[in-house]
Amino acid sequence: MDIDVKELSYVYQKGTPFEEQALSNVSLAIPHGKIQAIVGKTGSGKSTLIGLLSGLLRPSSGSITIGDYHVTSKTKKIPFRSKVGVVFQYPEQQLFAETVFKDIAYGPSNQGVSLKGIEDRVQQAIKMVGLDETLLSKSPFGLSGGQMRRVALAGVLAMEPSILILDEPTAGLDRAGSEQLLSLIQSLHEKNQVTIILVTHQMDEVARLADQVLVMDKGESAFYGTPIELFSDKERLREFGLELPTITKLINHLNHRINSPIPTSIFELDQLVAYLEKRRKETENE
Amino acid sequence: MGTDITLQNVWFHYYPNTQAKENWAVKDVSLTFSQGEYISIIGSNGSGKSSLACLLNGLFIPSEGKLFINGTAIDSDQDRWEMKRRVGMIFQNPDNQIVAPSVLDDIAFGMENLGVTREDMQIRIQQVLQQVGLTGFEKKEPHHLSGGQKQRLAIAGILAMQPDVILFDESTSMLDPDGRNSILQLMSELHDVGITVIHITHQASEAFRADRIIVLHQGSVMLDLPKKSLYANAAQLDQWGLDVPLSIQLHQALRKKGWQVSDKVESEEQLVSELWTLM
Ligand SMILES: Nc1ncnc2c1ncn2[C@@H]1O[C@H](COP(=O)(O)OP(=O)(O)OP(=O)(O)O)[C@@H](O)[C@H]1O
Ligand SMILES: Nc1ncnc2c1ncn2[C@@H]1O[C@H](COP(=O)(O)OP(=O)(O)OP(=O)(O)O)[C@@H](O)[C@H]1O
Ligand SMILES: [Mg+2]
Ligand SMILES: [Mg+2]
Repeated sequence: MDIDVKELSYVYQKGTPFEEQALSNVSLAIPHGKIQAIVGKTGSGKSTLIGLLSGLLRPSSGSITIGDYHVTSKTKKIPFRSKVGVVFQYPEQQLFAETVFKDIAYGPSNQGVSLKGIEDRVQQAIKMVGLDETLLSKSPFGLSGGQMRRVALAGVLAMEPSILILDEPTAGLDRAGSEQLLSLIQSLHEKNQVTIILVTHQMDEVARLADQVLVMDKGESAFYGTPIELFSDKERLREFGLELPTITKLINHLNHRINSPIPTSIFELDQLVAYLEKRRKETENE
Repeated sequence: MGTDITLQNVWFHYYPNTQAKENWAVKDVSLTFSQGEYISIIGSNGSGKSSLACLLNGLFIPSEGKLFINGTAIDSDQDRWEMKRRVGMIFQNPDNQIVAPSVLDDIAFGMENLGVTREDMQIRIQQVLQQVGLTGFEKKEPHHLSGGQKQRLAIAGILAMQPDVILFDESTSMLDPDGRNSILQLMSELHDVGITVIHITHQASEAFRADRIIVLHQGSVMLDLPKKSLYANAAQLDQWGLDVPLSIQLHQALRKKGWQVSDKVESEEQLVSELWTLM
């Protein structure tokens, strides 16, 4: 299912003194199976865009097409809500059941999955997010912040959505948890061709995962391209209030001192190590 | 005069009577936080960081063990009230902290409880809004703010109360890079004027700004290190599933490949100059 967004706008509390245009004329095309990152300053409209893509908000103007479904300001019932899995910025807002198990099982049971099937999906989902099995019988509200986030994620994964939207999913996760989530995103993308929309403030994640990146600025689309394109334009990066990925900063730091620079298109530590090794061998052979 | 906090063999659990002691949220923690320190607390999800923070500001009462402020044991509700006044805490989820119908009222709320005068309030409100970058948002309803704006509001509310100690529980987790840098900068400024800053975070790059790092694991303190030994010990953090600075990861990877770099580096600067000579 390709996603096509055309001149999308959204106004909060229209017609009140608090009226706020949170999104203006955003257009965006996400081919099926891609990883799309959305970045930008606080308040730039990222969560609003996601609210629209997931069918929770209705466009003020413009349109969203997902596969065969089409939504405009006139659409009464938004058809794709069940196709799209969303993990919200504050996962607590998404938890509601008495136990962690029931919370994760809710989605699949609504999809008409058999009892046995539900059990399997819950087990699979908690494994994917690295949640301890002993927490299944606990209340989701008696968990630490990072544990709650994992439960919210597991609940969405258990529905096996073909489009997965994640609003700052690694915020509050420890290193092991973030690492696991990022690999999970990679494997959902590679093995299951799930389309992934990732809102994040972590440029490291953008560098590592994204096929394309959208920069939002004051409700408008300010840049649309690949991570390499984005991170090669330092001037604009600063203008957008963004920064370079940690690895790029480290490479730049090294490049200060060496004559033929290390390419800044390297975004993974393994690649950097391999590159340095190769270079060292070349020097030794000279 | 300031506020020194001491925990002496403190244990805590949400359901002390139903849980085996090895599963408690905080286990036998003894620590002192002196006025003016800049400390970061790191640890995996569920390791007890937020629970410890709630003990430090008097919101939770130790299930076992004792807590002292400037050497005096904290026993009564009166003591704990006093403690909350001295130790401001910014919660992990700002929704838990935001109480009033507008940004302005929300910041005023905490000060009203402290009996701050109207005039003083006006001044402090403008000052803290500016410090967190929310000037112009006075009339907005807090639940109509974006995620990062809520985090900033929660910080403003605590700053306005001018506590001796400020605990930031993952307060930068949803800020954009600029916002994160400005809050980190703010922490340094607070530290410079003598306020104790305690920062709970999952990001190594943020934790390493502090002068002292405490590592929690399953409710217990694993490490409590001053700044100068941080870099040399950072590789250990991996065993508790914690973030290790990228330059240290690179250093280790290269050593494994047989590069002649020294076994202990103390800073990224040092690593970079060593690599440079090898290339
Ligand atoms: N329910 C609401 N009512 C009114 N205004 C809102 C509401 N939600 C968000 N806004 C405003 O709309 C703008 C865009 O908010 P949005 O939540 O989309 O930002 P964001 O890019 O997700 O920011 P962050 O990185 O802080 O999460 C902001 O100025 C915000 O104050
Ligand atoms: N309200 C609660 N009721 C019962 N148990 C709780 C509650 N809050 C936390 N716990 C449990 O106490 C332990 C410590 O939780 P705490 O919130 O202190 O962890 P944390 O280090 O802050 O984790 P995180 O990085 O995920 O925020 C965890 O096992 C957690 O499940
Ligand atoms: Mg948001
Ligand atoms: Mg916590």
